Amino acid sequence: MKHKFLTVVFLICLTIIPTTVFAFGQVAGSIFIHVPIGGSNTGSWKIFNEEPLKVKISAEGDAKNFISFPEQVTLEPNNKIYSIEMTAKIPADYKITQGTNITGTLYALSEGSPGQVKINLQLKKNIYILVESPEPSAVAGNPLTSLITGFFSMGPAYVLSFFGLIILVEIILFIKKKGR
Amino acid sequence: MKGIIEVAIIAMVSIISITTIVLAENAVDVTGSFTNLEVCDIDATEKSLNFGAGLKPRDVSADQMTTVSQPSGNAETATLEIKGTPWSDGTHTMDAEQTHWSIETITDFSGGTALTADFVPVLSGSFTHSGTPVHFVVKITDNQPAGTYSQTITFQVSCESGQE
Repeated sequence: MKHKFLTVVFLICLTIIPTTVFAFGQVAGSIFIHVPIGGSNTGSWKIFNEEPLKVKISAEGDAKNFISFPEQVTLEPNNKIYSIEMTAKIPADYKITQGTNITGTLYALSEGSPGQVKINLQLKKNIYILVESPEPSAVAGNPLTSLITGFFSMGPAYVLSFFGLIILVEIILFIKKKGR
Repeated sequence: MKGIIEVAIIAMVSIISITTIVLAENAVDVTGSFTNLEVCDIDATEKSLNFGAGLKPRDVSADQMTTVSQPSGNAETATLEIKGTPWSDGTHTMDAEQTHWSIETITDFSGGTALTADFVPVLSGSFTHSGTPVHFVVKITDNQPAGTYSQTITFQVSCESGQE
């Protein structure tokens, strides 16, 4: 009798508990990548999952022509936050008049099981490539200026200690002089 | 002699000051912090649906359901959308619109929303963590050729950060 009762309870539990199959998500917000003309830069799309998943990555919009990314990624179960690297590259012959804000949309698709109706889950993310003029070449620094700047950047405590030490040495020299 | 004592006191004060400054500089404070990320995610109780094998032209299937949720979603604005492909048996097709969906039980075929090839919103704002049931029914068109048809439905979630 007890055995039958437990079996009935077990069967009822099976019907009540939803069978969560899979889940995955993303960190909110858009991706912004600053790229100088003739250069490249990277940004990352942070996604996460609860179970191992194969995810197909795709893009739409103008940004699609300027970015590269892995087309498929396998999310490991223990990877809490997975960064998918997006590399944006602007060719040297790109004209700034073509626009400084190239927009697009990224998709991460997790396919469902085959059946009469397959249910897919997908994440959507906006991406913005912000085109900048090429960076000017770095100007060589003045060694003396760097030395002084470096000294003061050591912090107020060290500077005070340094001057304190000089005063101390002068006092000792003064005492010795007086002693003579 | 008095001058020497004064100088000695000044020297002592200087040494104590310098020692204090150096010791203060080397003191270590241990602080803790964490960042709780703003996220949206998506979950479905069913990876596939089955409307059965006993349907014939003009029949309306029984209601089928999957529960969609964002279990750990905390983004201020999240949007859940849906789209579907046409039904196909490899040779013949039937419009995606023959599938209707609703977040409530569909008792009458016309009560649901026709599935479309483009995404349309199901929910936006902050939809519940406990899950939103999405119900589906399919109606077979008149003179639809016999066959085993299949369809793909895609749920899509997106979210913007309220911290930007």
